[in-house]
Amino acid sequence: MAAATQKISSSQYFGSMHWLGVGCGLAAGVWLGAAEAPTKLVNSGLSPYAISLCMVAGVFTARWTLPTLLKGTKYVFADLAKNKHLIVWAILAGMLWAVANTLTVFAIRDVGLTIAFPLWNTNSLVGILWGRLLFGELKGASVSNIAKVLLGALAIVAAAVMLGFSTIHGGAAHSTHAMQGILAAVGASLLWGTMYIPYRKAYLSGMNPLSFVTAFTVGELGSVFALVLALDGGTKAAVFHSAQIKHLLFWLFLGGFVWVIGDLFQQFAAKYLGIGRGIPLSNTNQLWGLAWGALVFGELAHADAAHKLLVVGGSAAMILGALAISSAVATAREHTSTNEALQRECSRYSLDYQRVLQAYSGSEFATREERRGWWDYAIVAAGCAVFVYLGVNAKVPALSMDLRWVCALAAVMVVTAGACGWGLWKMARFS
Amino acid sequence: MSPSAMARAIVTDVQFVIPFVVLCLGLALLVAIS
Repeated sequence: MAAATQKISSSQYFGSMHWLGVGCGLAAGVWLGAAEAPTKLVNSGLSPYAISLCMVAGVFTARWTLPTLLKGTKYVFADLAKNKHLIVWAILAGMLWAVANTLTVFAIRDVGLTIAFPLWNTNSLVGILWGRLLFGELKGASVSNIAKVLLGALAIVAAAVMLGFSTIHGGAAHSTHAMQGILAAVGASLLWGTMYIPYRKAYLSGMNPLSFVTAFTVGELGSVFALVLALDGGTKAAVFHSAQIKHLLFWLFLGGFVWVIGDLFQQFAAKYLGIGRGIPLSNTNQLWGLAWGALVFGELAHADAAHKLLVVGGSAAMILGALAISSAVATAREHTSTNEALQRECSRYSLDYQRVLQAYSGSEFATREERRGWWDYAIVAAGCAVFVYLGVNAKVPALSMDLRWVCALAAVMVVTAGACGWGLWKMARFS
Repeated sequence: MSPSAMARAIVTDVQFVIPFVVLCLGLALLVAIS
């Protein structure tokens, strides 16, 4: 116990966990950006609600494949039982994601991507605000660190907007519902920025990201299912009756699998960096989404000089923003604010401070039962069987792809996941 | 901590109230524009 207290108060510990968090934030960007790629293979005429439901079903299934092996279900359910009050927050976060994602559909419909995209990309700024107000992030930070985080986040927002514009051809959609569209985009930004409050709260209270994701995906799937029933035709919705869906599901599930891995890294970034630094870093996913679109699917093959300039400028701004945030290592004074937030949680919910501190610092793994049961392997086998079944029935669409770039980008994904996974295991045993 | 005390602590926690209110606003907006 005393070791944990000593560990969290050492500057060496701060530094190493900061860089682990930075690695997780950047890996989240790589994987979340790649999650869009499989959905590009789906050109079915299905509604966005239906696409969203299928992808989230994939996220839910994928959570029970590879991530189950990291920590067995026994550990996860014991963790959930120890932090019962946080289940509400995890489900709430899943619901916030689902509603925000649906709002973006309406924003694009009413004002077009040109206007909607910059608006909802400000979610990282909303996250910084909540981080400062509710968790004391950046409180006591040096002026240079505050400047690095704020300017870095602004640079990443600006870069995301530039990269978004580089893929847009033609003007914004004309609509008689422009105000509705703007409200929907602002709403999505607010919801996605607010979604990180539960993330941070859970980790300050010592919950494991894998446990959080378990409840999160339940909230996400339930909400998307409810939205399909309420807004997409109820039980008569095409997603429940379409004959062609069987051939498309694999690609959407694959997108869900990639997304859940990216989200796990994002969760660890929120844990070890805080949301003020973690969200902007994972928002670099825009760069990787563009890389897949441009290099694999040739989306910029006919781009003019202005669009290419946006790509170069946006990429440079995003890299500089990420570098600025990465170099803003929190000082001991800032960590004192984090400890105050942690003590607030312990006092409010009668939690054991030493246990929470151990879990927060990633050193509680030695005290918990982590052996996998036979059922864990059965669950993983069942999850994998779903993917195999869908893969056998999948149809590869006639879409031109550069397979060399597929291999190169997939290699980047494997390397980042391997490096960060190894770091998480070595330094915190995925805690 | 008893379940009722925990429920009270949750619903009076500003870190719950803010996301919950934002979710309600988001749902209301969704219903209004759909």
